[in-house]
Amino acid sequence: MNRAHIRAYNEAVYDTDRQRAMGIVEAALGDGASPEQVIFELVVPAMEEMIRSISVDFDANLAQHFMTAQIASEVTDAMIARFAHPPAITGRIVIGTAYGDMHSLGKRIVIGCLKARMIEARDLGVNVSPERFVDEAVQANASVIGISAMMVHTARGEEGCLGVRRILRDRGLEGHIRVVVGGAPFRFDPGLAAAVEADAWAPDGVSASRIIEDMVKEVRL
Amino acid sequence: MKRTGPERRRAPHRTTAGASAHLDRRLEPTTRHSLDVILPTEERKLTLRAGQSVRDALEHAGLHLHAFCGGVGLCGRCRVRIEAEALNELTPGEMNALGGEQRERGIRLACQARPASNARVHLDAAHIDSAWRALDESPGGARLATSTPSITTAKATGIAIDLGTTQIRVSAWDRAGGRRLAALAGFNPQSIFGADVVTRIAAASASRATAEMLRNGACGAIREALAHLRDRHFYEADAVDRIVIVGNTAMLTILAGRNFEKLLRPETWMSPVECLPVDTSALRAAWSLDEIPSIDLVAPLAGFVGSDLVAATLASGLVEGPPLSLIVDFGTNSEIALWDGTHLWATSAAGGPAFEGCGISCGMPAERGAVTRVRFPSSSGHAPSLEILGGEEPRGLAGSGVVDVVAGLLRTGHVNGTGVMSRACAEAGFVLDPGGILKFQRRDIDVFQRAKAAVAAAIEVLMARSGNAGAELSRLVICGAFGRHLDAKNAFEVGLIPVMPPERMEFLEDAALCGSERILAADDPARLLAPIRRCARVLNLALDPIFEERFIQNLYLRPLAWKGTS
Repeated sequence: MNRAHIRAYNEAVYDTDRQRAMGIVEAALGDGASPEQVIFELVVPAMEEMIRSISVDFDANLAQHFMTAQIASEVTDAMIARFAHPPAITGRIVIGTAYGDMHSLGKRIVIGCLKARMIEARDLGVNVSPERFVDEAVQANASVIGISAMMVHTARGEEGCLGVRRILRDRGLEGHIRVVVGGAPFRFDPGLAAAVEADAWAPDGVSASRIIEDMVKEVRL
Repeated sequence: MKRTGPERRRAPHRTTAGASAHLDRRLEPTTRHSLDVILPTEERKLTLRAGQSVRDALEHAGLHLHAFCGGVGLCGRCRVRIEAEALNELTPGEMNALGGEQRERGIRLACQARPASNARVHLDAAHIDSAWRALDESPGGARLATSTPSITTAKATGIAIDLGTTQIRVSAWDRAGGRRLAALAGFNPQSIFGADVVTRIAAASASRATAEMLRNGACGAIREALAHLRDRHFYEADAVDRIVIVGNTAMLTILAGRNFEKLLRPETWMSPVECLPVDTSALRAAWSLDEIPSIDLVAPLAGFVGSDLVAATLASGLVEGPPLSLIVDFGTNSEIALWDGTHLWATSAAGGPAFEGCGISCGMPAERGAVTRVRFPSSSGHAPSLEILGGEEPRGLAGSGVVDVVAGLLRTGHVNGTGVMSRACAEAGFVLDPGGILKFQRRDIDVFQRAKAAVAAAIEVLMARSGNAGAELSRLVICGAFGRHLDAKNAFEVGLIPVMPPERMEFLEDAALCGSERILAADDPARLLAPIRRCARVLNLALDPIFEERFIQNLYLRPLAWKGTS
C-alpha cells in the first residue's frame, strides 16, 4: 500500500472527513490495491494508529472516535462487496448495553471497528439482562460477550457484568465465553473491571475492537 | 511511590505484648499518620489511617468537600494542596483532572490522595461552605411573581422552594400583599454524594442509611435557608401557612424518602412517579413547623422531568404565548420544553456537568472567583480579558465562561469544527489568565461538545416529534444561573442554541422559583397547573431512535441553524 495513501487516509480520519477518506480509498484501488489490502493495510492500521495515540495521550475526542468507526464501517461494507472470495470471519461476539442502561453510542463505535477486523458482532441493543447476554452468546456461537455500561450503578450492579459472570459459571461456560466491559465508570476506576469479574476492559470503543480481537483469537487457540 | 521530600525508610511497628520477639502482623496496629488541616481561620489536627484518602479522613471529621461524582476522581472538584513526604502515585482520575502545573504545585484530588506519611492539606471556604446568598430579582421575575393578593389572614406567609440538583432557591412570599419578601440561593449539599441525579438515586437505592443522609442533606440546607430568611429578612415564622416545593423527580423522591429506586428502571420512565411523602412529619420536624402549614411537593410530569420545569413554564407564560416557544434549563440534566400551540413537548437531556463548570479541568460553579465572561482580543498575542465574580483572582471558569472560550478558540482558529485543537495549544492547553492557572485543555473541548450536543439534539428531537422540524422559534427562554452571563452570539457560534434574533431571547434565572410563588399565591393550585399538565407530552430521549444521530451531528462546533432560523 502506497505510503502517501496511508498518510492521507490517516489525516482524513483524524479530520473526520468521510468524503476525503472515501476519495483516498478510490485512489488506492485505482493504483491497483485490492479491496482486501484497503481493509488490512489502510483501515485497520489507521485504527491502530488512533489506539496508539490515545494510549500515549488522550488525543482523540468523541467526534473523532465516532467517525473512525463510521468510516471504517462504511469502507468495509463497500470493500467486502468487492472481495474476490467471501471474507473469513475471525470470530463472533455479542454486544449490548447493560441492564438499566440506555447508552448506545459506545457499543456502536465498537461494532463499526469490529467490522473492519472481520469480527461478526450481534448487537443486542440496550437494557440487556444478563440472561439474555448469555442466551444470545450461546445461540450465536460467540466467544466474547461485550458489555457497555455508562453509569456506575449499571456497571457495578448485580444485573450487569456480575450477573453475566454468575450465569456463565452456573452453566459451565466460563472456559468458552469471555467477557469484556467498557464505559466511563471503568475508565475512572481501574479496579472496577476486576471487581465485577470481567476478563478485560477497554477505555474506549476503538481500543475495544483490538482487545476483543485479541480475545477472540485467544479463545480460538 | 511519589515522594515530595527526602526518602525515609519507615521502621516496622513492633508490638510489645508478651515476651515473644516475633512480629505477629495480625496484631500490628494500623499505621496512622497525622493530617493537619489548614483552614482559613483555624488549623485542625486529624488522624489518617494508612491507605485512607484525604477526603475520607475529612469526611469523618465532619469536613465535607464538594464532590460532584461521589468521590471517585471524576469531577476534579476536590482539588486541594497537599504536602506530604510520601504520597501515592497520581491516579488516572487525577491525570485527567489536573494540569502539569497544578501537580507541580502539589495539588491533588483529595478523594484520590492517600498519604503514607504525616501530611498537611489546605482547604478554603469554597471547599466546604454551602454559602446562602441573597437572590437578586431577575428583571422579569418581579413582574411575573406579583399577583393579585389572596384573601387570607393578614400576615400569611408562604415559602417557595426550588430544590435543584446543584442549587436550592428559597423565598418568603407575602400571601396577603402578593409579593416576594426575600429570597436566597445556596448550594445543594447533596452534591457530596454526586453531581448528577442518577448517581444520587443509585446511592439512595443502595443503602437506607445513604438515602437518609441524602434526605437530611436537603432538609438541613432548607432549614438553614429558612433560618437565614427569618433572622435577616424578618418574616414571621408562625405566619407561614403554606410551603410549596418544586424540583426534578429525583430530588423530590429523595426528599419524600420513597420511590427513587423506580427511576433506575427504564420501564418507569414514561410514567408519573409518586413523590408525596407518606407523611410530612419528618419535614415538619426538620423545619420546626407544627401541623398548620401545608407542605405541597408539586408532582413532576413523568420520568425525570419534574415540577421545576412545570413551575418555570408557568412563570414564563410559555403556554399562553405564541408557538413556537422553547424553554431551556441548562444543567447536568438539562430540562427542555417546546410549546407548539397545542402541546408542551418536554424532555430531560443528560450531557454531563459542563454547564455547571464541572468536568472542565479549570471549571467551577458560578461562585466567587468564577470567570463568567471571556473576551478574546481582536489581535493575537494578547491575553483574553476576564470578568470575574466577586472581582477577585480568577479561580476557575463558570459555564458561561466555557462557552466564551470555546467560541473564542473557534473564531481564532485554535480549535476546528470537529473540536480538535491546533498543535500549538494541544500540548499545554490554552492559557487564559496572566497567572497561567487557568488552562483550557483539549479534553475540556470534548466534555463541552458532549454537553452541548445533548441539548442541541434534544431541541431537534422536540422540533421533529412535534412536527416542526425546520421551523422558526418565536421565543426562547433560558433559565438558571447559566443563562445569566451567557453571551448569545457565542452560544450561537458553537451550536448551543438555535440561531435566532437576540430580541426573541429571555433570561429568567429563577424561573422555577417564580413559578412556585405563583403556585403559592393561587387559591387552587391544581387548577392553575391543569392547562400545563393537560397539554404536556413527555419524551424520553434514551428511547428515541433519532436522538443518537442528532447527538453525533451536534458534536460539531457550528451554528445550530435550520431552514427557519435566521
